[in-house]
Amino acid sequence: MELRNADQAMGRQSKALPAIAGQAMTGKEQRARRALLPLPPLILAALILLLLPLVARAHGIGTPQRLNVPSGPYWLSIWTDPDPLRADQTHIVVAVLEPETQEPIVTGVEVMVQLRSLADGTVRTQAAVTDNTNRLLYAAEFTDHVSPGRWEASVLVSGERGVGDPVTFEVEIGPARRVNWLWVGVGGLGAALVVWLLSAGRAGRRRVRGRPTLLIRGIPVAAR
Amino acid sequence: MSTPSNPIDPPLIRLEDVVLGRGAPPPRFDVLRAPLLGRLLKARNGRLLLQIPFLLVAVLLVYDGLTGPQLAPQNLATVTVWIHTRGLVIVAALLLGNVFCMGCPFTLPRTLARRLSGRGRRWPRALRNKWLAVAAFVAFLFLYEWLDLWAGPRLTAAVIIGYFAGAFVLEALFAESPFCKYICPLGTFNFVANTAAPTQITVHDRDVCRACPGKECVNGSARVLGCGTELFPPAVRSNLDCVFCLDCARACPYDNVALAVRRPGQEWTAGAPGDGVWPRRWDVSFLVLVFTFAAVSNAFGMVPPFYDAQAWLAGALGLTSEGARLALTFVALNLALPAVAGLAAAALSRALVGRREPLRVAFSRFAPAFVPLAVAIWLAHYGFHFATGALVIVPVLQNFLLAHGLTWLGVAPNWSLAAILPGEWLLPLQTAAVLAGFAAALFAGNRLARRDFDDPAAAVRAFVPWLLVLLALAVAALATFNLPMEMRGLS
Repeated sequence: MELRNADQAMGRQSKALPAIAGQAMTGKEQRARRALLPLPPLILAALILLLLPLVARAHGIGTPQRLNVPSGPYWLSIWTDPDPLRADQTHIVVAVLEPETQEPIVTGVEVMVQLRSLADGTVRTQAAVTDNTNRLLYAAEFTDHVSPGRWEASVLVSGERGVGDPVTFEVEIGPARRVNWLWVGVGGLGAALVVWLLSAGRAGRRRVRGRPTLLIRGIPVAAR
Repeated sequence: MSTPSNPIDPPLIRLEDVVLGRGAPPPRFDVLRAPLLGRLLKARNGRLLLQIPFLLVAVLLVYDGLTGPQLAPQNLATVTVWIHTRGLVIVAALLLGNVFCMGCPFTLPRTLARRLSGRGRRWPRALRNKWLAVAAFVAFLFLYEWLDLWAGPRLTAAVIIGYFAGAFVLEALFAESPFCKYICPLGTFNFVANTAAPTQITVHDRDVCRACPGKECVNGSARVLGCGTELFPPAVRSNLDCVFCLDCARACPYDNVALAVRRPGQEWTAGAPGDGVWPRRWDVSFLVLVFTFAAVSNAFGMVPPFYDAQAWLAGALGLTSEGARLALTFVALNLALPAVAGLAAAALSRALVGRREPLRVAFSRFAPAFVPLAVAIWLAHYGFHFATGALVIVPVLQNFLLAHGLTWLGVAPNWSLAAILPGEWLLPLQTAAVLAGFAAALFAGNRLARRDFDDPAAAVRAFVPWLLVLLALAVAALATFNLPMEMRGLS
């Protein structure tokens, strides 16, 4: 790093520095500002801490339902997604593992997922296919094929090693999302644009009003 | 495409800034002068206090990644790297500053490597810009998708090892920190994200720096290395390129370097008309656009239409190789689209105001306004994964300990732990984040336009083409977050 040029340049430079806005403040104001500066991070940190009690009772997307459960010649891990499950979005994701090595089995198995309504006995069956985003997992999608209520899920794996035992668990499926957040978001973007346009218009008018009147031969001319 | 012809190497620092004293203003609050914390940060081994825990975690991740269960949600490497690190990086940028670069363990062998390199070779001049960083950043995102890094504990461990090796080799070969400054995709991400940070390196009194004979902050001393990325604190106006190592503060014999608390994103709009804090350079401006477009495309890579598009590409172009399809998609979404959109917006903006100026100037004028939207989209995306899977670390750690015969955290993993926020909250929070980012981008863009154009009407006309790009990105992000995310099995 050669700082000679900077040194030379700085040597020729006047000691005077540009005025800094903050330097015009009184000592009291500066102390008050200084005292307030750490507040935003502290408030955010406090909010995070306040949210922590939710942790114990909250679940999230990819809720584990069964993990490393023996199923005949396989081990299964099963998640549901999202949390809570909704009639308009219900995924069941399965990992099939070799019991000895716990390595995922990604070929040569068929994974069937069945949902049976505990209210009216309706049965929905889907073959779980290799998940698009994680090829070590199998995903079955029941979106818009189920109604709100309690359902029993059953996962059955078959393949070269044989047929596993069904692994079952119960899930609660809630109603479809009522609020379309895309439109809420688009509405918010629109509102932001309106505010910007109004403020830009005001700024333009302020500028026109603030200009000295241009006189040509004593006759005022509107500013362009 | 011009590269800066700056006699002091760091391309983000201009000699005239030093001469005219145009660095950041003196700090109103200096974290380094705070009781205890300041002393801790400035202690000779202050950085080590953060790096050593990070190093131990990295070693643990490599070990579990290579030897532990190969199912991503049950392995420390995948869970820690792809859920926690990514989520916390963006939160830290907004609340604290570039603490992840500060604690980066990959630079720990730096001292040894520097001894090897001595005052050796300089990084090639042609590469002293952000083009390589842009390429590395997009390549990393591509490899993440193509190799399913999030799903592979061994691959994740390999990435960590690769990082250590890359940082060490480059540090050993060259007499500066080219890995951090010109290549590291994580560092590139952190640099841009941390322009939003509430902290920045500056100095208390520039006169002290003018009179300083040794410039130890950059040149180093017998006791402390100088700034790895060769930034000169009195001329620092931006967090771009600053790894928050605080070596400058440790090396300064006058205790003149400060870690100032500032208004978040202050640097985006600061500066005089036609002379903003951010350099008017193709590479830096393009990096910001890529950072923003990648925020959307990275989230888009998780929703069903992305896979439909891949299937369509396979059929329409006969591309059977997944790698080729993904490469094509990534080049299109993360490089071609930002280039075309940016150039078109710049040309239109220039034409609308009728100002004769280089296209580079029009291209770079509104680049800073993209950062708040980009940070918001990354936060919405990575925050989603963090919020839904943060507590997975508990059973994964329990599982790891039990596998090694340790029952410190119980005798059975509690696999029911996963989220830190209720699922119903996430989409409203993601929507709020994108809206806040867009509003901040609008605010920043408006200020930039008003700064550079006296006439309010011209300011509006100059900004409108860029506003359309920002709006399109915000709508794309909202639409993506409203689609069901394909489950990655991470949480």
